[in-house]
Amino acid sequence: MSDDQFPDYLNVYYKKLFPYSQFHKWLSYGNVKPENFLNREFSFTLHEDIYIRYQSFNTLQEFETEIQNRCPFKIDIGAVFNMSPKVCRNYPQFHALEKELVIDIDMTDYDQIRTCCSGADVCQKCWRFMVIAVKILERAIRDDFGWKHLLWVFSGRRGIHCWICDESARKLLPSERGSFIDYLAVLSAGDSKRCNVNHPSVKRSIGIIKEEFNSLLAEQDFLGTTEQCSKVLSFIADEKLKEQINLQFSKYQSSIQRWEALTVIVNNNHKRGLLNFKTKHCVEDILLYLAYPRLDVNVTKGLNHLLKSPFCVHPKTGKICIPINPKVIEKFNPNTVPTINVLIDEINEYDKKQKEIINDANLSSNRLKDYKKTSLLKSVNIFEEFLRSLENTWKGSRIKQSDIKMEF
Amino acid sequence: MNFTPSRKNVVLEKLQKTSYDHDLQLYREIPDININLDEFEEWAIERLKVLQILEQLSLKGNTSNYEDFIKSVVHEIKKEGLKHMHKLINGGIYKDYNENCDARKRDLCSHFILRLIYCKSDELRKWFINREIELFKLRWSLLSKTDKLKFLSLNNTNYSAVSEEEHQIMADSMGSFATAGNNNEYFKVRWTQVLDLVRNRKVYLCDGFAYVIQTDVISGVCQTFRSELSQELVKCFQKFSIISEDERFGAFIKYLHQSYMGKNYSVTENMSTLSVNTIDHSSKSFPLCMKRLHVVLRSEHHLKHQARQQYGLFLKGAGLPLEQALVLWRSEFTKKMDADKFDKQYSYNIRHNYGKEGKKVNYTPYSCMKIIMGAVGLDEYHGCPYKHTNSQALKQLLEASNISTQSIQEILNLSQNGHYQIACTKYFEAHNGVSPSCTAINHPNQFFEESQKLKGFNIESNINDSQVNDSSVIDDIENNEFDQTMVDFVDKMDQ
Ligand code: SF4
Ligand SMILES: [Zn+2]
Repeated sequence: MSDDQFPDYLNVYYKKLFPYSQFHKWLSYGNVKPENFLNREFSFTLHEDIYIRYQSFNTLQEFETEIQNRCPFKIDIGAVFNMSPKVCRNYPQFHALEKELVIDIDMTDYDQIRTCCSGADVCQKCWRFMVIAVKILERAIRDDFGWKHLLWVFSGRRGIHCWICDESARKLLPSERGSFIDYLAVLSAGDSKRCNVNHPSVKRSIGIIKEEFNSLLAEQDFLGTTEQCSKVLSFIADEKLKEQINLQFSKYQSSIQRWEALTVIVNNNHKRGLLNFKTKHCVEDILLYLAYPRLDVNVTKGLNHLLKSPFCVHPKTGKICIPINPKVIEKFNPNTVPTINVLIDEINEYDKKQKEIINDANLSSNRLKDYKKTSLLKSVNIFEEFLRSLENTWKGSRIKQSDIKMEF
Repeated sequence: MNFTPSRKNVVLEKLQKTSYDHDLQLYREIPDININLDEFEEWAIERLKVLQILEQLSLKGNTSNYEDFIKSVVHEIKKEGLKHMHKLINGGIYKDYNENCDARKRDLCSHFILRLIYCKSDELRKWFINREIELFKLRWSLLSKTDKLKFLSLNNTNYSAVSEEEHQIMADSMGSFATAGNNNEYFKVRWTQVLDLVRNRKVYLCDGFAYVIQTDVISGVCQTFRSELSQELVKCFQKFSIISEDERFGAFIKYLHQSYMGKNYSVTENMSTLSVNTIDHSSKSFPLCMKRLHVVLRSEHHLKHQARQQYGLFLKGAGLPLEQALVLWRSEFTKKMDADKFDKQYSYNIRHNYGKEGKKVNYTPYSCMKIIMGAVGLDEYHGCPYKHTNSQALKQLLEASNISTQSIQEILNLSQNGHYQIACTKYFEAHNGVSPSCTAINHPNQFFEESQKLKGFNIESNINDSQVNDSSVIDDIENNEFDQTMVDFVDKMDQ
């Protein structure tokens, strides 16, 4: 696909593939409060980087038509406001009320530690960092905070977004969002700041890291060069211990062997009670540094922070920002994500085949929704599954609401 | 809370049991009581005194040892004769229920009265909230354990007990994170009520609940109190215009926050030491706000109305007699206007301030709070320099005052962070080499009086003229230098 083809492809994508009705269903949240959709801000990045904020729509129909007309390169989702963004954005009372709690993890934040790629690139090897991140965050968000409706989305190039959609999460104040993400951002205050590895949440995270660590170590070759070794050893405050380990490092070549030597020495010292409180947890400190999710906390903190919408098309890669099933996150391959041109080819091919098969039958193949003819189907299914569980909650609140009405 | 306009003691009260059943309050319900205007004022002033004591002592920076801090606060409250608050703070030392109840009622009402006064701007709200939180924390820390538990259950703070079963699960996953302890040492609360503990990973979370150890509970309660209070103050402000239109107590509400509860300096005590001849010398012991006005008066031969009020009343409080004051102002003003005009336009006002004209009220010199809260226009020189000048200009002012660069930096930092009076106290220390005997500067006249004391001026006896003359040669030289830098500076500011 060349750059100038992109707008045409996008046109087709928005006409045939974008899952408007599911999308509308999501952001209406059962229509318990119609403002949820009506007062929601969308912003569009149009051709040539024209950026328009404060778009809002009254109906699914209006939303669909507008997107098809504008054909935005990028759609961002903002907050739900107290009045319609499109009409009232200049009113002094205009302010954001609620928004999904979002988390943004971007592979570029791993550039300090990943050795396989850098910058915009991502491969199966470094994707393992994302696998670990998703596993850790899933547990923390569900177990510690008790939220259930998590939508994980591939960001189109080299990262993942998480949309936490439970009502109590959507209603959080900025200060609460701040505390939430600070709680999760174990590594935020610089690499060397140690956190309490005994905290149950951190401990659980270390457990998850350990499960993946051998593969990660082999793939990233964390202890491959002297430079890398000394970076890792800087987490050991005890000079003597450091020397012992360094000696072992010189005997071995591979990262795996070196790591094993390190843990053996630290464990031995630990058993003999030779480690003080600073060095006692050095292995955990290193594990966290090398594999704990690196979060962009500011995205989470702002109630009014915009985030790229699911099912956008990344203009550079052509990849769709598809929902991910966190349960099989290790099977997800960022390099086989459907791209816009593949999808459109798939539709054409399907239609061609159908024509051949039912050549003179009256049935038209167009009865089938276009996305079902493509590899986007899988992603839409994941999205729908997420919606189904969300639906149960608003069934609940509808009943609650009608109860209240009956009472009065 | 109803208000009886009569000054007679018509206290009709309907005791609402619930409002009074604990010494400590979150002030969630406006009490349904009638109080008269005297009580209204008296109770407000009492509470304000308590809050000011807290501010003074915490400004002093002695909060590192909380125990000592509490002691000094309690001591000061007792010393000031604030017996009702003293009783509440000491909790349960008195047996008589009515007495107890009376103190609680005052606490409740005075809090709500001060809300009216402190709801009017962001700055006032912030001040009030911070003081109330300090007071709350202090009172909490002095409660017995049973009273703490009672408080938590009475106030619906959403803390609940941890069941046996939960405790087991918790203990399993906490492992070495938990400090040894038994079941009743933990309380369960929504995590959003203890944001600081969550942020710092100081608490175990499960399914949206935080399991908070008893000693950490207060941080959550304070957070609740703070957010409720700040919302209520904003609401109160929205209704404020209606209340303040009631003339009976409109003025009181409008101006109480500017008032100052210490010595009022309206009558000069023992200090007729200031005269036109000595004023240039004495001005070196003025606080920066007054020093600057003096220099401007000398160099510009004029001061605008607000500045004349601020400086004139200060001089009165510092012991400048009326005749001398008239000489001072006339000698300067007539350099730019003829004597006739001065007598017509300005002397009345000066005599007025000394209580010799009009209503014959003896006007009080402005306190720091009043000066700091006042508004200052672009080319006006009144106000508090720590608040009302930009840091560049303040720096130049300080540099002209002959104090170390390190002190200057400290003072600049303090004033940038909004600690104007501590900045002023620092300046006092840098200037005089010792701290003032009070905790912090809160009145320009206090600043001056204390500096004078340190300079060996015996307040009781008048200084005889020869002493002054002896040193006046040196003074003149110093004054010239000093004045020149200030004049240069003032000139620059004008451009
Ligand atoms: S703090 Fe008070 S005395 Fe000091 S400069 Fe400001 S107003 Fe004047
Ligand atoms: Zn890679």
